[in-house]
Amino acid sequence: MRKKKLFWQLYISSLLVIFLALAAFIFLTSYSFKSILLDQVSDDLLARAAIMRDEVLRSWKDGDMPALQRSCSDISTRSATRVTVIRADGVVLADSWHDPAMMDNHRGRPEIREAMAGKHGNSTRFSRTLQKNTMYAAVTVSDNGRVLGVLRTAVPLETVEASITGLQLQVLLGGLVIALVATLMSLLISRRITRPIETLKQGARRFAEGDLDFRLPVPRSEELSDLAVVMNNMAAQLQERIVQITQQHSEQDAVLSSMVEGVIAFDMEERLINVNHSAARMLRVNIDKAKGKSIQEVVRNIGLQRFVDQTLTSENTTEGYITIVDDVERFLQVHGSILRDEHRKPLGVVVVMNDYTELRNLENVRREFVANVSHELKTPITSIKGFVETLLDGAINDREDAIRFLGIVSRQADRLNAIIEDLLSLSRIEQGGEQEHIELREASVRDVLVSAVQSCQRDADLKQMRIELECAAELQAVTNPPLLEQAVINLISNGIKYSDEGQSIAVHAARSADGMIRIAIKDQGYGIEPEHLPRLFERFYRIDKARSRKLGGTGLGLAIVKHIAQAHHGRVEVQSTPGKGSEFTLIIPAGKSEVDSPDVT
Amino acid sequence: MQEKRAENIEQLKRRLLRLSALVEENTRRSVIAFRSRDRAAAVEIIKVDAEINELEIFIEEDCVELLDRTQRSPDDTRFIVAVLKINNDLERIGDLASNVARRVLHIGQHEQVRFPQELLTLAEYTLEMVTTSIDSFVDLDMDLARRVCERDHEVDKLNRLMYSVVQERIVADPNQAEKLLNFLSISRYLERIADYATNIAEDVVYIGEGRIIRHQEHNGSQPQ
Repeated sequence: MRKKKLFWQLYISSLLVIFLALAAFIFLTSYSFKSILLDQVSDDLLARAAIMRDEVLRSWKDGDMPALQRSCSDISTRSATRVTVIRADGVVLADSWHDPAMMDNHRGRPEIREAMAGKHGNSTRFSRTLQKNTMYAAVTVSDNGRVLGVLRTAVPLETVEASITGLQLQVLLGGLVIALVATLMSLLISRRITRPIETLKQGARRFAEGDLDFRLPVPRSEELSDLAVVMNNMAAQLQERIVQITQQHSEQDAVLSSMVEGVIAFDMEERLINVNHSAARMLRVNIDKAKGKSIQEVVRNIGLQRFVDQTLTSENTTEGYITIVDDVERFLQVHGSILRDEHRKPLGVVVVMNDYTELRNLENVRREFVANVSHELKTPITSIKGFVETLLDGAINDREDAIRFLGIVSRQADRLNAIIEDLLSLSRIEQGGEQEHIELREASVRDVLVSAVQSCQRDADLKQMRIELECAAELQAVTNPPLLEQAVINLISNGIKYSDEGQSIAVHAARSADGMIRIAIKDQGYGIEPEHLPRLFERFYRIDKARSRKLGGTGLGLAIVKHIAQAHHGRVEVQSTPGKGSEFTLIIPAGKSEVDSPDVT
Repeated sequence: MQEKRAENIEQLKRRLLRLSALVEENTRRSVIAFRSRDRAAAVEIIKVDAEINELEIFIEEDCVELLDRTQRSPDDTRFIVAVLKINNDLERIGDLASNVARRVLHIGQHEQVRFPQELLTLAEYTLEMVTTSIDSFVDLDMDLARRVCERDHEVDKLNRLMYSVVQERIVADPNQAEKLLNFLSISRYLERIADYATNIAEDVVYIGEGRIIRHQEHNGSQPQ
């Protein structure tokens, strides 16, 4: 059904009321005017009849009929009234406007009968004589109590009727004017009533559109002003609630997005509900476009799709592993649980993802290390055991062999010792570095380098190699000098080992712009293939196992260097060109004060 | 693995996307496997291909079932037909990925041979095309689909280039001919994967615009 506007309802009903009232008013006024007017006319007629009575009686008593006729005409002309004199038996004796002889017996006329009965005779009817609507009044003419006849006065109602019509017209005209004014007034009033409602409506619409800062103007009428106030309060509360919810939402969002773990949620139809930044990064999901799409569209990872399926069909939390294949494979540990609403009705599923690729890689390194260390220890032990058994089996009796074998045993024992020594120092540095037990202080870099070069001088001399040192005396670093010395010794002796005779090694230290001391050890040796560089600092990582072992390496030298650099809050870098040589650079923090001392050698 | 038939277009789309996830992942794995000469991964890839073939048949039956129904809008019919074709293309991509994996089993032994840069680039482009073509299907994104078609020219060019690169290297070192020919096979497989990705993109345009753009502008992109 079509809804009517309140304005029209009000307007039309008030118009209806106005017109009904006006019509009733017009009807009543014209009716009462008419009756008052007619009463007046009849009273007037009676009064005139009464006034004439004496004059008529006089002529009548004289029996002078022409005189009677004359006086009737005379009175009639003076008062514009028709005067008729009728004898008690109904015969018309005189009439002002007519010839009495031509008139029939008037006994039956109502006004005559009434008058003869002793009342005031009065009647309004159509006069056949005058051919007009006429009002009659009759009084008796009596002489000393004897009724002679009746004196009747009459006027045509023409004029009266005309004035009644005129009056009715005026009233109607007035009524119309009033109606017009009332129509306009009720239009204004209706509008006045409905306008604040319209304003309220528009305000409510603005609220609905989310403009909660808007406040409704309070109208003057009580009911509407109450309504406006209530609505304004509602808007304020709504706004507060929305602010609260938004805040909660953004808090949740902040929590979710700051999580390292990926979180992704789907509804029962497997459509995406929410995904945090970590998950979006892991799964390469475009957060803005993905919401509401199905898992198959959003996450093209069969592992996760299956995992979500599995979680949706199970009642409990689930756990699993999935792999993501981008440029490399990544491994995720996933936990899934069913999301439920307050009535425990399942809403969907949330999956928390943990990238454990790093951990897995670390685990691989550890596994390799254990395998390597066992192998490294096993080799000298096997050798020692073999030669000792040979000696016990009788070789001890051959003095020459025995000495040669014991020499090998001794060398292998030295090697074993070196490995264990290195492992111990590595673990010491590592532990110290982790627990900040390694004592760091400001010390001269040059002192450390000079002492390291001296330690390596003997090995260098054996291969006719020169070690060039270039370091400003005032360079200071935050360091643990014995450890730093060991790291530099390891790097220099590596350089000596992997260079040909006669080549030189350059040790150069300088302060870089970023407040770090860079100690570079550069050789002209064999160099390292680029594919080995990433793993170079791992324990027991060897480019050429046989050659390394022959040269007496433990496979731990560079691992120790790396850990010393880390214990100094620094790092180590390497650049190498196969066949041209390598450059290792230790980078550690510089001291705060530069000692302004003269060159010391 | 799935027991129920797809009941509507939405479910059919999801199922096809499931297949595409499987295929895309396996293709990626095959490229990683040959880059890192990972024999174990290669064996795994060949195993997954059986699953892909199974799912392909399943989806085909879904399509037949849906086509069998009487009430269908012309758009839906077009979609189902396109799904049938994409389904087939995906299965072929899966086959080619497992072919790449089989080559990995051969080159696994020859560690010292370096991969030509052209082959690595070609692999990268191919993977990108597979991903993009499926992306374009997910959103029915015509622009993405067209980008796939354009990329195909470059892959074709790289594949042709591979012939001369391999030829040069064989001339330089005839002992390595066998290993180098493996690269050539891989290059050809990847190029054909790119062709199928292009087919998928063309089918996406068919769904979106009802226009067949195959056999237009780019010739020679059709797999033989």
